[in-house]
Amino acid sequence: MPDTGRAAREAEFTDFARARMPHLYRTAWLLCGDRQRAEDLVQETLTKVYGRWGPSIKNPAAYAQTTLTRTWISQQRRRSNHERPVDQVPERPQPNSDPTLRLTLIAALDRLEPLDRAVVVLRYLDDSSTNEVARHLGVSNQAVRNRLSRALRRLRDQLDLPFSELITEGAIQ
Amino acid sequence: MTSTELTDLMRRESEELDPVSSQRILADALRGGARRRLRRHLTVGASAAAVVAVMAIGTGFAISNGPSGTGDAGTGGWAAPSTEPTKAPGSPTEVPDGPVIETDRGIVGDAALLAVTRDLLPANGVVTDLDVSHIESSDPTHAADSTRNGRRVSFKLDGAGASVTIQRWDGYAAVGWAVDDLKQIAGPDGALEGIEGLPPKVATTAREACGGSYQSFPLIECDESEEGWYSVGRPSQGATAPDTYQELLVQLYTHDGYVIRVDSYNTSGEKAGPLLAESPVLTFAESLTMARSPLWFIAE
Repeated sequence: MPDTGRAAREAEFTDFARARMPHLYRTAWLLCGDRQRAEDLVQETLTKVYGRWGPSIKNPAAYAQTTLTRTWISQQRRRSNHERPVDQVPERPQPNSDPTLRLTLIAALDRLEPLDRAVVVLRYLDDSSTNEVARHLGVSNQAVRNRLSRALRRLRDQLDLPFSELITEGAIQ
Repeated sequence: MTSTELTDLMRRESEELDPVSSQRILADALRGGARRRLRRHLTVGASAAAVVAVMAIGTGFAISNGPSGTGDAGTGGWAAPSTEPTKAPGSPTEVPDGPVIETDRGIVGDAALLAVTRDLLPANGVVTDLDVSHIESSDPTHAADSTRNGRRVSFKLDGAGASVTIQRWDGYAAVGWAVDDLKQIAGPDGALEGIEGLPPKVATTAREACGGSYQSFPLIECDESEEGWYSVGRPSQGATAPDTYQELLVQLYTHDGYVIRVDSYNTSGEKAGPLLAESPVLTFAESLTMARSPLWFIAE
């Protein structure tokens, strides 16, 4: 007799994963700065989400995003030698993208502390509020603001771009 | 560059990136996730069954020893929980370890615990006396068990005492009652008539652990968060302490078997020191944020 409960759960999760995977992957790529690691991170995230899949997950998209970010942070803490991969793997053609700018962006993000990097990625990729970022990371709103302010100062130095307006808008509230 | 432009930059540089192996990722996630579900269910099921089996043996022992034995032998009920450590092999109250909940993370090292604590505390507070200690089980029947490697970070925030304790809640056999059962018999004044007739309860989920499977009094109300179930309490400071002495205790029981207790006072310590503020130094929101933080843990 087929296990209809399991089949339904699997189908529901598959639909969710297919729809959400591109966004999870972009977040993972900005966090990892490396395509292979980003894929591994997405896979580990979806494995954890499916392991808990059910009615208790009230907002699967937010749950998956939180899981991905926390898994990545945990990986950074475990990686004591703090490998700093340089993504030299040829990317597929990106007609609307400037490869130099992309590498510069990743290199600048790579110089941030892991938690600072997560704050920046969550805040700006999704245009999330600092409160939402705090919920994802499990830290206080004030801690997010402090980290954002510090991270943006470093990004300004790395990217050599005028970030004064950005700091005013994003970090000092 | 404005925040909008930084958002645009991040989106533009990542928007056409897609995982090359999306089908493989999905297939592996389904397989791995199914294995995790199965392992969790098997672990909890097998451990709970073992506890029930040994408790039944304990009941038989009580019956064979008549009314003078441990437990309510006359009613054929469960052996009464003991307040003594029950690790001694062969003792009539011996119970096996309770269900072990699967987890893929451990507590970070001591140096990281200190750093995380500083990171999570309000930025405008003055932190002193920050220290980590390795602690024994807080389960009353296994009070001497130091094998679970619990940790407590103690500190003072603006002079007031506070601590964060991280331990496992799983792995011990039941010594209490289910809170839902207690509610059935609780009188309007909180009296629990007929409690001896209730079977002890083993906690197999975070909700049960939070709800008091390991402690019978008082009745504990728990709320759900993404990480598990939490309770909020203001424990009494005792008859000898002034009424103005206050404590705030937030306890989060996670789905993967950890309990994180965030405890704070409005004095320099428990029932000690001069009054420093009207309320405990950490608010409920600050305490819960600390309890929910993933930064206490590391992937294993």
